[in-house]
Amino acid sequence: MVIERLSKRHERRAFDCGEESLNRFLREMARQRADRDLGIAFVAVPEPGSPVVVGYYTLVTATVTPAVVPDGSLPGQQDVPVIRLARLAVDRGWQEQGVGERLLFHALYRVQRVAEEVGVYAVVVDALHERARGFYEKYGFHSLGDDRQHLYMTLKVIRALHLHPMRSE
Amino acid sequence: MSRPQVKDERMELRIAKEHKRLIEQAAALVGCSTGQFVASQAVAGASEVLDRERAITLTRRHFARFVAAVEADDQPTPAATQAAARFSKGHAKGPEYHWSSND
Repeated sequence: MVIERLSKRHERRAFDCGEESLNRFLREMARQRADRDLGIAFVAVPEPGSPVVVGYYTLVTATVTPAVVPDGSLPGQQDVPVIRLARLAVDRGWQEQGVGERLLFHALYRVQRVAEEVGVYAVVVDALHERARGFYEKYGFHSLGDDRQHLYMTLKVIRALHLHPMRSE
Repeated sequence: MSRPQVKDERMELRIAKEHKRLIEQAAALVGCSTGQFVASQAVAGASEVLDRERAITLTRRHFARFVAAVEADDQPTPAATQAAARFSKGHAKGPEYHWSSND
């Protein structure tokens, strides 16, 4: 299995994760948004050179901000920069085989590398439903407490995972 | 990460006659029903709007809790440590990450 940047070669129409909004995003928006530098998309394919998309994820920048109070903001209570794992989906035919886990940790690995160059406070994910929530909580994500069901993992925790794939060639 | 979709909610809306005709033509062109067409376009639009919403706003209490958690020395869970070890067994060839399912 290979995780690589989404490109023209990938067949996106056949992808079906069971969640129409995520299928549609891959089919119609992911490439265009990556071309416009609005979001990065990575896909898992069964083997190098294969057009078959087994799963994908996207990363975008975001901020976490405290609600405004009339007397203005307190020192140390300003917006913080985060990276949002906006979408993560696995095709129905490939679920329950650890693909989601590989995509998640690939994303965390990339965030760790980005955080060496620019300030990143944490990774934030959107849990679309209860099952997704359980998936992230298992790996130590905590709730942000907002009503959009966001969960986060801190950079400290990500660094403590020592994510370094072996080098070859 | 997903489940089969149950379509048990109804939505009704009023639109201009010429807009309806336009939608019918477009739906016919891509070969789906007008209902499917309207729903899929609206879902795609909604998801893009939410994606564009880059600021996640928390109550001051939740924000303070988040900041405190980031400053604290939290450790990875055992499941995360094991998954990280599986990930690191894979290898990188240039920008590509490879692994085999029997890892």
